[in-house]
Formats: sequence, C-alpha cells, structure tokens
Amino acid sequence: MSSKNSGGRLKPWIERKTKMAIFDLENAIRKWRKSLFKDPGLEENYIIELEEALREEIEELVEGGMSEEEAFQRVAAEVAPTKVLGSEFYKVRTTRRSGRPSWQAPQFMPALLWHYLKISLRKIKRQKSYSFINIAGLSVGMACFLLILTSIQFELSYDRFFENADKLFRVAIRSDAPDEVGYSITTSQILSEALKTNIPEIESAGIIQRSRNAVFQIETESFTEDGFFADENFFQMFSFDMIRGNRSEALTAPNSIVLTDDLAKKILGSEDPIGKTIHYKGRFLSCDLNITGIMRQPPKNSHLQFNYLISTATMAVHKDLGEWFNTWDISAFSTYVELKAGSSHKITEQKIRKIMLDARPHVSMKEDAVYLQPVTDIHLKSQVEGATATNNRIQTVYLFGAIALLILLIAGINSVNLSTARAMTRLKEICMRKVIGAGRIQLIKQFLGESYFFTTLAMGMAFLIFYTLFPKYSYFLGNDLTLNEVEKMPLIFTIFGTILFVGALSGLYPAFVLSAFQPLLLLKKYTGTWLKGARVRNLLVIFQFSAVVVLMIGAIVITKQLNFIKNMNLGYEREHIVILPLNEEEAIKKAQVLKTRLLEYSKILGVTVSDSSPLRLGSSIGGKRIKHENGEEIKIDMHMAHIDHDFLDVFGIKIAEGRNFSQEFPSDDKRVLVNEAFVRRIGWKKPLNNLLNGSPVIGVIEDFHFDTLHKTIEPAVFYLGEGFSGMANIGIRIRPEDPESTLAEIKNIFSQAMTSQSFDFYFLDDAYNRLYRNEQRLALMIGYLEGLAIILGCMGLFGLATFAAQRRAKEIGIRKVLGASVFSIIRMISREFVELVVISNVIAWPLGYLFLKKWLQGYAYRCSFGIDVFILAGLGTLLIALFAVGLHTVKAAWSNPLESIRYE
Amino acid sequence: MSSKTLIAASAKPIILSILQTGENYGYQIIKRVRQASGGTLEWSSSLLYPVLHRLEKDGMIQSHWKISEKGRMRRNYSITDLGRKELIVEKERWINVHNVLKEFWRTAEALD
Repeated sequence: MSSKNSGGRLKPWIERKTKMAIFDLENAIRKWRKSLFKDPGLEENYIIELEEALREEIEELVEGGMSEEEAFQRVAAEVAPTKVLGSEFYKVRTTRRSGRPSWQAPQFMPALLWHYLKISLRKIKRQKSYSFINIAGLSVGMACFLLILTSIQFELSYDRFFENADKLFRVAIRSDAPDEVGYSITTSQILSEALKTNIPEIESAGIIQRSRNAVFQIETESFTEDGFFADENFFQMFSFDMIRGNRSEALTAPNSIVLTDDLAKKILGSEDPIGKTIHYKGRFLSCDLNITGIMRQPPKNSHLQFNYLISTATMAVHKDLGEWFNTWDISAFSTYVELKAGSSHKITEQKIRKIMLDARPHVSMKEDAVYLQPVTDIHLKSQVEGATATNNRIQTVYLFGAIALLILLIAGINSVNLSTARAMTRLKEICMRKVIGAGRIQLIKQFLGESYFFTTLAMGMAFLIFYTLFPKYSYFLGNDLTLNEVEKMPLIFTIFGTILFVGALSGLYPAFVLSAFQPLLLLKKYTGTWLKGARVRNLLVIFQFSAVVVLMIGAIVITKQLNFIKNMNLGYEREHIVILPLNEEEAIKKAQVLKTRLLEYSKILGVTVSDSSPLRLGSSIGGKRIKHENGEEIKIDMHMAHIDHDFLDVFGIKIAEGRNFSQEFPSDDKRVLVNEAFVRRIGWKKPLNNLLNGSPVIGVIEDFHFDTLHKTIEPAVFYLGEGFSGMANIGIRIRPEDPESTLAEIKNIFSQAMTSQSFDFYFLDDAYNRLYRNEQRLALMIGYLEGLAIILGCMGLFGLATFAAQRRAKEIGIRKVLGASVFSIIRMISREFVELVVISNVIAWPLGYLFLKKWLQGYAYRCSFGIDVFILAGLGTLLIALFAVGLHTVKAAWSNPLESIRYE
Repeated sequence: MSSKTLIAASAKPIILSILQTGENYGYQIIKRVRQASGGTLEWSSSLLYPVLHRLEKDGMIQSHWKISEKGRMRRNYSITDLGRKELIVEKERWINVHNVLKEFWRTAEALD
C-alpha cells in the first residue's frame, strides 16, 4: 500500500523533473541570442535590449501560470525573423538612401546582367555543337510553330471582319433522310421576303446565287469570271467596302452589276466604270448590265469569294428565269439573315420552319430541320461542300494545332535534356557562385535568363525562317496568303508568347536542378551529376519519341489511304478522258454539233453530252416517293442525271441488268436507268420494267463512285437528256497516244464550232485527284512535320548520347582493358536509349491506332491497316534512334582505353 | 485589429506621448500600449525598438543605460524638447484626422 502511495506521489514529481530536464530557459535564451548575433544588422547593444524585453515578458507570463517553455516559445516567436529585424535596425543607422544592407543582394544588378550575357556568349563559343543543337532545334521548332499558328489564325478569322458577324446566319435545311446528317443551303427566293415581314427577330434577310464561269464581253476581248447574283439587302448585311456607288441602291434595279476593283481594272483599265454597260453571258442568262458600283475585292478570309454581284432583279425580269421567283417550289438561292441584337436563333429557327411548313403543308420536315448556321462557322464547320468557297474542316485545324504544339514541345524538351545532361560541365561554375554568395533564387534567375537568351536568339532565327518560308507555305496550303495580309498584332503576340512559353519550358526545370548543387560536391569529386534529373529526362525522351511514333504511324496510314483512293476501282474509267464544260446558253445548244464534228477525228474514241460527269451527277432530290413492288411507297434521296446514248460507253460504266439507252428505241426518252444502290434502297427484286414516275426502268447500272470516297454510293436515276437545257458537259475519250496533239485538235474543232465561248477543259483523272487535294496536302504536311519531329528528336538523342559517352568514358576504358568487345560496349550504351524508344512505341501504338481509327471514319471506303504499320513505325524510330546514338557510341567503343583512364 | 500601416504611422506619436509622462523602457512601453488599447493594439519588440532608435537618431528622445532591480542592463528612454515640439505637431494632425472622420460619420448617421 505504502509503496503504491509513494508511487503515486513520485509520478508527477518525475514528470516535473523530466520536463525541467528537457527545457532549460537559460540555454534556450543563449541559443536565441546566438542566432541574433548571426545577423550582421544587429549590434550587441540592440541584442541586450531585445533580450531584456524578452526576459521581462517571459517572467510576466510565467507569473501568470504559463510554463517557461511555453512562455519562451511564445515571446521568441513574436520577434520577427532575424534577417528582417536586422535590416530594420540597419535602416535606422545607415546613411544609404535605399536602406538596403550592404550584405543583401540588390533586386536588380545591371553589371551582373552584362556578366551573365558574357557567360552565355562564351558558352555558345566554347560549346559549339551543344549550342548549335539547342539553338537550331529551337529555331526550327519555333519557325514551324509560327507558320502553323499563322495559318490557324487565318482559318479561324474567316468572316469575323463583318461588322455584325455575330448576328449573321445562313439558312440551312437538314436532310430529311433517316440516319443521315447533311445540309442543304438552297431555299426558295420567297423565303427571305417572308422572313422579313413575319419574324420580328430578323433585322434583314437576303438571297444570293452562284454565277460560275460567266463571260464578260468587252469589245473583242472576253473574260471568264465567277460571281454572285445578290439582292438589294446584300450590302446592308455584309460590310464589304464599297468604293463607288450607293450601297443601298447598287443592286436594286434589274440589269445592275457591282464589280470588284480588281475586275474593273482588269476589264476596263483606267476608264471610269460607273454608268458603263458590259455584256454578260452566263449559263442561264445573257444580257447587258449597267455598272452601278465598285467595291473592294473581298478579303481572302471571307467564305463569299466573288468578282462581281448582279442584282437578282435581273433574273426576275428574265422570261425564262422569272418562274424561280415568288414560288416556294423552286429552291435556287442561299438565304442569309441578320438577327436583331439579343434575339435567340433557336426560336427564330422554329419560326422559319413554321413559315416553310405553312407554305408547303404537303412537305414533311423534322423538328430540327431548319438550322441557322452562323456565318463565322461556315468556313470550318459547314458540312456543305463547295457551296460558296472551298471550305476547310475544323478537325484539320485542331490537328495542325496539336502537331504544332508537339513540335514546339519536342524542341523545348531537347533544350531541357541537354541542359540537365551537361550539368557536370557547369558544376564548378555553380559551386563557385554559391561559395561567393549567390543564393539559389539568384542562380535560378541566371539559368532562366540564359534560357530566355537562347530562346530569343532562336526566335530571331525562327522569324527569318518564317519570313523566308511563308510564301511557299501559304502557296502549299492553297490560300496564297501574303505576309502583308497577315494580321500583325496576333503575330506579335504569338512571337512574344512563344518566347515566354519556350523560355520557361526549356529553362525552368534545368534552373531548379542546376541551382540545387551543393558546393561540397566539388570537394567530393562527385560523379553523379548526370543522374540529376535522369528520371525526368527519360520521361521527356519517352514523350518525344511517342510523339514521333504517332506522327510516323499517321504518315504511313494517311499515305496508304491516299494510295487506296488513287488505285481504287471506281466503277468507271477516268484515264484519257477530257471534259469540256460549257458555260453559256449558245454553246449548250451547239453541243450536239460539236459532238458530231469531234467524232470525225480519228484520235477520239467516243463523245458524250450530258449534265453530269462521273465525279458529280447533275442534281439531287430529297424525299422522292417511289413505289415498291408490293405497292408500298418509299421516300428516298436520290441523284438525277441527264445523259445521252454514249455516256456509259465513254466513261466505261457497265450495265448490270437490262440494257443501255439505244437509238433503236425512239421511246427511250420516256424510260430510265437506275443504279444498283437505287435498287437496293427500294428493295426491288426485279427492277426491270418497274415504274418511276410513270417511266419504266430499262436497265440497272453497276454502282460507280460519283462522289468522294468519304460517302457511300447513293441511289441515282439516269434520264435520256436530249433537248434538256442543262446538258453542259462534254466528255471525250481519246486515244492514249500523243494527248497533246489530240487536245490541240479538239481545241481547233471547238473554236470553229463555238464562237461564243472560250476553250476550257480538264482531264477527268486530274479532277478526281483534286477532290482529294486537302487529304494530299494533309498527308504531305504530316510527312514534312514527321520528318521535322524525327530530326528534332534525333538531335536531342544525339546530344544525350554525346554526354552519355563522355560520362562513361572511363568505364568504357576499364571495360576494354578488362577484355570487353567493341560490340558489347556499343550494346551497353545503346541499350538505355533503345529501352526508351521501345517504351515510347508501347505508349504510342494505342494512341496512333485511336487517332487513325477516328480519321478513317471520315471515309466510307477505307484502306485496311494491320500490325505491320505499327511494326514499321517502331522499327523506323528504333533505327533512327540507333543511328543518332550510334555515331558517338561507336566512337567511344573504338577509342583507345588509355586515353580515358590515364589520369585515374 | 489595426492595419500594419496604421500601427506604423501611429507608433511615433504614441511613443512620444508615453515618454511625455516620464522616462520609460522598451517592454514597459509595449505594456502601456497594450493596457491603453485594451489589448487591441499589440506591439512587438521588432516593431518598437527600430522606431525608438529612429526617434533617438532624430533627436526626439534620448536614452541611457541603467541596472534594473533584477541586476540586468536596461536602456531607459526620455523625451527631448524637440520631441515635445514634434508631439504638439503630431497631436494636431491626429486630432484633425479624428475630427474629419467624426464629422463624416456623424453626417452618415444622420442620413441613416
């Protein structure tokens, strides 16, 4: 019991004693005082004074019941960090204006800046190959980035120059067919008038129609030009610059034309054009027009590209074209609307749909059939091809943007890797700076500054490359943009933004790694500096090579798909076929005469007159109702072509069932041919003699691709088009031998037969290849960028291999002395890089696969690709990497071991 | 509770006012401020001592070393004639500020 009691008394005593033993106030104050003495700003009498205050407050707190330790902690914590305290005392006694203690580094030292610059320049001079790899890599990467970004900026700027761009929309009608997303942008003329009067949200509405290859006759000279028919609202909606004439009246009266300044200069020279009359010959119209205005040529970043505008009133008064007006049944115009500020386009779409339905109650329209397409979206997001100008795809813009960023990252990573890898060469410098008194922040600033110096230098070179290559690049892209047309402010922002980004990208990490070296390393003969940042360096190399592999896989498959398209059996022959498009009425009327004369020439194997070519069938009709054999009505979208008896023979298109149109059957003009897709769509078991709008089917044509391979073959109907006014295509099959002289003879015959129209022709295979111009451009571009990425990646690997060989020179020497073979040494050094490339492949393959799968989904007909593509890309990168690493490795392996180990 | 700038600006007139009533030393000044403000104004030695030294350098206060009751060295400060004159000027400035604020707040309250 007593022992228990004494134990109970002992416990708090022991605790108290232990606590006392742990905390010794005098000792703590001594240490605190010692820490203050380290501060050069605090003199002894200041410290005595501070200590007196500290002691008094502690005593007071202890009297109040606080433990000594707690009191000390609390009071000592109240004294500001000694550095700040010292400088506060220093400020009182110094005569310096800044009040900054002499032992503290100033915020900015111009002398040091100059010194850093000298060091950087010296580095470039002494380490030529490193500097070359670094600066050349960065400048090529940045030049490429600038080029791509400028074109992206141009693509994104389309139609944003209109003053009311955010309020302008084009009326588009979604396709009625199930499972299909497509748009039509042709509406009736009457729609725009109805919209203006019935929908209060609409500020203005107007119509335009394309006028292609029209001929202007000025005395004896003729000029073939493209333009639009437009109504009086055109200039109210689109803020194109009007140089002469009245914006609101120029397109009001019939037979009015507004020319662009370029066209006016071209056809009229220096004459005053206003009030002059010129003769116009188009496909449907031929008349004299009065020049009522001159406007500036539309900017290249407008989806409306034209050289002239003719008032739609000119068409309305024409005896044959007047029927296009004031009817809901003919859709021949594109309608544009300008909404009032704050109006919802969704609500307006519904109202437009209602107006259209009210006007044509028998037509069915899906709930979301009417779509107001923002004009700023037309160039990149429009799904209607070639409606007003050549459109691009937003996906391509994103793809280019991603590639540009990849190239920039690859170049930046080279810089990071080389800086950290060659840290050894800077060890002495860094340690000396630290010994002399440089702080880590100061060193970080120095290295970052160095990185910005290199980046700025590289940007200078990049700009030169950009300036030199820009015209070729824009020609290649097909936009023919000149540097004068590039908006300057975004370019300047891009340049400075790139410098900021790349400088930080390539400088931050090395700055932190290098500034962390301890001066003690110098004494320890530290050899592990290579290892500093090795893991990050490896990750970066893996990233670089993954990007290279993805690009390589992309380049291979895109080329494969293009070859697939090129060599695909399209169901028709496209070699040795010349197409003569007819542009105006008189020429179309004389087409048969021309055909007869052409057939007299021995080098011509066949001639056909039609409204179509195998690349584009005459016209398309949506929602046509066709009767199935069982009496059920089926609604289909189909193409409609007017051909003659020779169309199928000239283009080598085969008949699957039944027969072709024949001269022996005069009543064939009331019969039709259909394609296999048509039969499949309707589901006819026995297609022959079925009726199509009362016309019996006499033959089924084997399917042929009359559109790009992005789309599947659609149903098509062929009529015998003799006497049809749209027969504006002459197809000529020529003998393969000596096409130049054949063409010269065709021109000769054409000129004799056609006095009203200039000779214009194209080869069918060229036109086919032009359909894939965007893809070919994309493939070429990716090919170039792929090459660039490989070169940049290899430059980095080459640099890293150099340092690896240097670092391991002694090891290699010793291994050789001990009997290692050259091959085993090469294998040893190459191994670490090969491993990285293999890992990159493992990462890149699935990424590449996903990307290509997505890209190929854009084609209805795709090439197949298997593991061989990936293996090819893998082997390719491996070989290239081995080549880059090999040069130094072989040199290191062959070197005399004595050279490297003699100083050991 | 007070902002740093306000504490720094008011340090000079407060120190001069305290010393006007008699000689004093660092920690005692801190305590007087704490008591007078009811604990809302908490000075630290790192704030007080540089200001004391600045005032001494400017000739507004003077100091001498003494041995405290506990046998430790202690520096005592007292106000000079220049300091008294400066205090009159400071007093006027702060009263002015005080009056202006009072006037505005009175008007604001009346409007409420």
